[in-house]
Amino acid sequence: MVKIEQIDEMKWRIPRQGGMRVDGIVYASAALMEDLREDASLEQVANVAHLPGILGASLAMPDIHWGYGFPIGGVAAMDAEEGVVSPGGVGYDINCGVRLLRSGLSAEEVQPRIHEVVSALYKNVPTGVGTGRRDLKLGKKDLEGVLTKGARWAVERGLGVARDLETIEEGGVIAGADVDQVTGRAFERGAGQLGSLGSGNHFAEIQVVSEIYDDAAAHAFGLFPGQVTVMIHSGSRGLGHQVCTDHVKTMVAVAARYGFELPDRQLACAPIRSPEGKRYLGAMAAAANFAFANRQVMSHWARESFAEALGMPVDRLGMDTVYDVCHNIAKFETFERDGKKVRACVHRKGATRSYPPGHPQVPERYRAVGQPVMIPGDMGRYSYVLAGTERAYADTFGSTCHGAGRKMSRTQAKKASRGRSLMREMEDRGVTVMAAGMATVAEEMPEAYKDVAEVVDVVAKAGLSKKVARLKPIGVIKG
Amino acid sequence: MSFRSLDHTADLSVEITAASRDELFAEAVPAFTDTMVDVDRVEALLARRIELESPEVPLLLVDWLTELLYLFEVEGLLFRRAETTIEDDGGDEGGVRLRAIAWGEPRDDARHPIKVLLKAVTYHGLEVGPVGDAGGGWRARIVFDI
Repeated sequence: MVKIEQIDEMKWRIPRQGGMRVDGIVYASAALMEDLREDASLEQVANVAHLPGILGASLAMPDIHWGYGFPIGGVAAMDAEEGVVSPGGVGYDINCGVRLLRSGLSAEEVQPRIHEVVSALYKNVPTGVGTGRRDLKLGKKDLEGVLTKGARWAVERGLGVARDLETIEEGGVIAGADVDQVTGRAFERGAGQLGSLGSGNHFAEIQVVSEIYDDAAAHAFGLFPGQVTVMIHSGSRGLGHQVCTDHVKTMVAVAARYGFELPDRQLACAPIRSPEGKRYLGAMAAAANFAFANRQVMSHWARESFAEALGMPVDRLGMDTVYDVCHNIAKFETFERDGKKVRACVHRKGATRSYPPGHPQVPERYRAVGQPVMIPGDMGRYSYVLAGTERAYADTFGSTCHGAGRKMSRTQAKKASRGRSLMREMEDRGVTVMAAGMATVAEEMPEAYKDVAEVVDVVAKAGLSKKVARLKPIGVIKG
Repeated sequence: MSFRSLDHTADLSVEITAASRDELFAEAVPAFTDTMVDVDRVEALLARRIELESPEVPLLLVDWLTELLYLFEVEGLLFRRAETTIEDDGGDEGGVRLRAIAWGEPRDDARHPIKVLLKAVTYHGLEVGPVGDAGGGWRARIVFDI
């Protein structure tokens, strides 16, 4: 059992002990902490604090849960010169993230045709097992373009508009992608999967803005009450999974050579400046770019689906990108700490960047209010839009939470769903669901998740983000 | 030989037991396949010969299941059973080698509905070894990312 002490209402400390290089800091309410004490995630926060070059603290957001090696909901900033990079600190689904599209449509316009819209989306955006659409088969050269250009590759192919690129984290492309570090197997797994949602907790959702908390920020983000939005949650698919698999394997093999004694093999890492570290970072950037392109392609198809179902031209739908964030990533970012500029490789595994007003990385049109942060909830209740803050920039390397986190195991959820018609229940709640597999719907049912409002309240009270809007789902497609 | 899935909130983990190290690797095949589909509905219609090398036995198990995941994702193959032998290399570098023949068939949408799709085989909490004293058999615990 790790020792934990309360700092204030929403902040807890795991004091440095043994081989820990820094403290662990966990953001949680007393109620969430009660649940956390029962699983291994706090120990995982302490384990991450052992890694060489870790700056500040091993951080955990209120949606933290048991992961493999690193906890999900963890943030670890490593000194860019002296620190390590860990593929497990990013996760298998490299640049799993969320894209939010707003629209010029109201709930009244879409609701009567929601079945048509969901059907069109389900037809146009492949979900579940297997590959993407036949009309987007990529050769090796195409795929290299995706890996180096990210979302821009899709826009150049006519899958989206140039304006989309202005409101994506890093402009939709992470610099330094090295396609030579992406193995043939990763290419094979990725070749047919661009423009596909995947399975598990991935989704594309049609929503309605049900609440506005901050008028100025909502106005800047182009959000208004009763407006229809689309949220897409997906990542780098088999390509990213294979990149992580390949590079974790390498790092497991070299850990001993670098003299790292790791409490868990999945924490395998290598110095950022080592050959293994550089190779991973090049491959990770490439996989992250695949994910940016993936969400870009699906966003384009979402627009086409609305146009098809509503009989309107795409350019009259007003479906612009609000923002696109990474949830699983390691990126070089610069912070001010104790009056000095510090360059860090920030690992966010199930965490979101939350940059403050005025930061040059925040798109100009949002600069007065801060970076948009999207926090998906479960498919029955709601998701949130937040805005980044100075406090996050100062205290958490510009990071905040990423989602609700599971409450039930998959087995428990399946048991709880037995004998029930979940599709019917969802329809009664006003959410039309289409899914490739019923098993996924059972595992992903709303009650299997914590209430995301509890998580968002913690980051809002702790000042890591401010609440801007709440979005209620009306249609969902799943893998 | 047997396998069972262990309950975790966010991930999927399985425990495999077998009489010997070789059989453990064979039993890993239905255990792996059954996480994604009902393995009883997978038929042994084709065979695939696979050879892998790793520095040590636990890492070899990760590589073995990663290989099966790759064959599923790229070729759509599901395997029902396998015959496996593990050789200790004994060279300067140490290392272990797996020689396997696996039997299965391409996934069929109608007969093989997906329970869950795996993203990867992790090293987290990886345990592979003999149970107790000699004769106690072998056991493995492995966590999948889903």
